[in-house]
Amino acid sequence: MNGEARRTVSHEDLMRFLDGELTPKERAAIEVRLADSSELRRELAIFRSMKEELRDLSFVPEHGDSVWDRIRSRITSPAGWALAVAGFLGWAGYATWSFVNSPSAILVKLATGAVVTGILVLLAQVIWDRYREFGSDPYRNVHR
Amino acid sequence: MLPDLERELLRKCQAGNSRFFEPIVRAYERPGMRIALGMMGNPDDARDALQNAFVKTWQSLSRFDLKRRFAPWFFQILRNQCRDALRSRKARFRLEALDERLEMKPGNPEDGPERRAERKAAKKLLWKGLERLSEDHREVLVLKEIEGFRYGEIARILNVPEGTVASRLFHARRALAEELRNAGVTYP
Repeated sequence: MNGEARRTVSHEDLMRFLDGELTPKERAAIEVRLADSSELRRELAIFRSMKEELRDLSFVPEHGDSVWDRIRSRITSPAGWALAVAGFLGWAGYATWSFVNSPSAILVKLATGAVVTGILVLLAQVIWDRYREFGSDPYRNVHR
Repeated sequence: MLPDLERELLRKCQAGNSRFFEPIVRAYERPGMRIALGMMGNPDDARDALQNAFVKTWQSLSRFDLKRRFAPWFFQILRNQCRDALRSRKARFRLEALDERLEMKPGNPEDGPERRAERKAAKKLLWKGLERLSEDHREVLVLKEIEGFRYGEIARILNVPEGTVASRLFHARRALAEELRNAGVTYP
């Protein structure tokens, strides 16, 4: 009888019984089978005991230690960067257009253009190197 | 948080106003931290996963359907973040002295020092047991036993049928019982 009763209660139904997910009628049916099977009762007792121990393991994070500050900086900084870059590009475009159309001598324009282009190339090189290093930097997630 | 209030806050977040995201973060960070800690096993990695989940949630909010419930959607993102972090080997599930950094659920104040030491040892064994389970088993136990979700909610978070939740719980509990037995725990 024991083995037969065990087979008629599926693993899923046993879990639903343990976790209070069955209707009263379904519960009553399982209780009848439980009364017939000592093996089933033993298994259920083990699961119940473990369930209580796990519930006891529950914990709460420290008070006043919100993650909001870090999240705020991460969700607002992309918008800030986008605005800063768009503004800089607009300003640089306007300055270039004004400079090219200014009455300055062509040699002055060429020399100034070479200086600005050189600085931008060096800056791009530094940014590119930093970007490549970032992928393999083991300390990038370390915060002070 | 009231569902109507939450929906209104999310609507404002979808319009791009990040200050309305703060009450959402504050409402979900504690349950989120409990889940992340259960899955990651240590507070630092759990906090990282939680932060990444909130940032990801913010970035995906425009696609969120306000007719749906927010909680299962958010916990699904959090669960995926935890799994990604575990897989990337940046943070492997490791046991730490949790009670040094976290406020544990208070025990019975009448417990003597001996009983408290027993409880502490039992908790350590449980954490060690959880550590040895597969990700699938650990996450379903964390969602059910530590956070107390119903099967329907777990099914939505894990994106599986309710029957799978029940079946996974059975195998997870059996695996944990086996681990505890191997660690010397005896059951009646």
